[in-house]
Amino acid sequence: MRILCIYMPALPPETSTGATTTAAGFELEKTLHPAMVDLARSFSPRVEDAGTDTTYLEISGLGSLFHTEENLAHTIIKSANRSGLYSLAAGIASGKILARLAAEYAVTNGKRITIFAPGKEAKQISAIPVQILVNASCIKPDERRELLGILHGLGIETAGQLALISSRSAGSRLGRRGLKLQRLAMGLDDTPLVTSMEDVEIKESIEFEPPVHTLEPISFRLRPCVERICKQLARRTLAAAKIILWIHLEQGKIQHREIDPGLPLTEPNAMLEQIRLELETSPPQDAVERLDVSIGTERFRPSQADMFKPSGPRPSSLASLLSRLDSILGKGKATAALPSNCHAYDRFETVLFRAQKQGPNTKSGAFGPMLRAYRPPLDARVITYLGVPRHVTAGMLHDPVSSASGPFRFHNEWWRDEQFLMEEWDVELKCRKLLKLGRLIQTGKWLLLGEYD
Amino acid sequence: MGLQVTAGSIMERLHNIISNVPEVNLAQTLSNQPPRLKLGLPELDRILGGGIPRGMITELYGPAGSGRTSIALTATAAAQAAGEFVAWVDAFDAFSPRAAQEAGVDPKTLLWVRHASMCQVLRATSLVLDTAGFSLAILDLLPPAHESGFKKKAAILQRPSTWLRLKRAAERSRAALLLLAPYSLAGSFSSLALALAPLNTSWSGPMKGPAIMCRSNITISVSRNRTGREGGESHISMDTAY
Repeated sequence: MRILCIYMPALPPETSTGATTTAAGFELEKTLHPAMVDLARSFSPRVEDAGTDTTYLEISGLGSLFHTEENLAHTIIKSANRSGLYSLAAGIASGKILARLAAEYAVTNGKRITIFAPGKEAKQISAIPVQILVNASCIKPDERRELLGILHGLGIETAGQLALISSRSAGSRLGRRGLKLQRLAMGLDDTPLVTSMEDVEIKESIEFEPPVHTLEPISFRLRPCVERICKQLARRTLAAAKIILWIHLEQGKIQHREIDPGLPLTEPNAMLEQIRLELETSPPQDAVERLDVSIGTERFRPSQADMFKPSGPRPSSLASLLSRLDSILGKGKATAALPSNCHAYDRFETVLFRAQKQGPNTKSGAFGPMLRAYRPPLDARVITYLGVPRHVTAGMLHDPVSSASGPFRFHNEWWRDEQFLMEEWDVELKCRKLLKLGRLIQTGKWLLLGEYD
Repeated sequence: MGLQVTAGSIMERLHNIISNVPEVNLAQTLSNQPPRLKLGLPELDRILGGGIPRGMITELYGPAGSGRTSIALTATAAAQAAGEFVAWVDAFDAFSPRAAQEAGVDPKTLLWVRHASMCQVLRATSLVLDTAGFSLAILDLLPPAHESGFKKKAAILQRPSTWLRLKRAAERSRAALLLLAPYSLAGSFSSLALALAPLNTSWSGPMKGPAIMCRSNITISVSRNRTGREGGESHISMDTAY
């Protein structure tokens, strides 16, 4: 198993507060570590995030893409430079700790890449000072000092010298850690790669100094932020299923907004439009100091359109349409519906419209008079004879009933003790209108529930 | 044996795919006819030459109880079954998801735009049409039976510019715009207008006992057809789905 270690050496104090911060910005400094992990994930699916300065990735099998390990390492370093990670070093070896050793050795020598060829590790390591070996191995800092003191006392300065002593004497003088160190010096490393579950939280922040009152500067600063988010999503083959905004206002208030696009988004323009429309619909009530954009991610599968079926709306266009409809009509007015699993004539829940195609339709629908519901139902005055409606008055309707069918009694939740709530009637008026009437059983009140058309 | 079963299932799958492919009428294509979207009512589709034209306005008007909603729901179900996307712009919030389900519509995959002012409804329809990918947009302007003053409320619908705008939007997106109205609203801007009228409703049951509404008969006549023959008429029975 070949492992590549991406190592970010600690920056000198003057650099950490000077050049790097100025060049890449405050946000970038905060996102250096996630950016490093993203960089690793963009090359291999098997990645171990080993703290703030080190990330390991397995590169076995990447030879067909990059031909040589050196080529791969150079490509990673170039990508790191493009992402603003200018000080990264890469080390490649047959084990995790050896790869880290290679990376640290590269930094010590003023290089950015070191490769320990398989089977030749012991020879290449032999000249490396034991101090680098100890630093690279997973030993606690106070134990490192103790171990280095013993090694100096024994006159061991390089890894080659450590490899030469017998394992028995290494064990008796240096303990278990010493044995592990000696195996490393011999080029043997069987530390397993611990790949972690993907952290799906993607968050970006924008600081406004001074706080801004209008949407224009927010939109201007949002673009690079959203582009960074989209890059992170693309690296992880994810899409934005939910956009969450935390708007920090001048008076210390925080506004929380959630945008639910119809389809998972990957395009910066579509995402920007969603945020812009949300902010235009309900602008922040005060000057904005900071804007946090957090993304709820969803795995998506790029798929080829069906050759035999008509194409649907593009995800970005659909998301934009839903946002525009929300801004024109108000939230929740452009949805899909899911009828509830009960006998109530007009009970349903609204769900987010998603452009999913209906499967092959095996069930053919009925063609008959269909109900148009009145929401809310209209109060009606009904004259009855022997309990059957004979005349209906509701709004502008004032007509005798020519035919009636009913009563149909429904109560929505049979497990309750309540009596039937309502009895329903289908009636035809003399003017040929077909209506659905309801009578509340407890109060005797008549309601016009809808019409058939 | 195993191979035969596999081949059989493949044939069945291919047959399913081919049966779902929209039919292409070569004669229609060569005669510069617009592509059609089936309404799902074979007799009416035959009279209309394959369905309603895409990229144009089709008007479906008539009094209450004349089956405008039923036909629109059947068209929606047919379009969804063919893998098309449909939007229902509902001016009076009267669309019933349960009725839609009975008509064979999958309400989960239908974009339902609800209850807004007339200006907002028209803007929403225009936006839906501008979003390429919807094959059928239904503009439901049917007022409740008890309401009056629809003409006063819908003054904006009398403006020719309204329909010109929607006609252009439908042309651009190549979506069929099906307008449900109590009377003809789009006038000459619609390419196809179907006038509906209720004939009678049948009730079954014993003479003095409770009756059940079982059937409603309607007449559909083609009052305007720019892409075919005018004047066709069809009588359709709608069976109640109890």
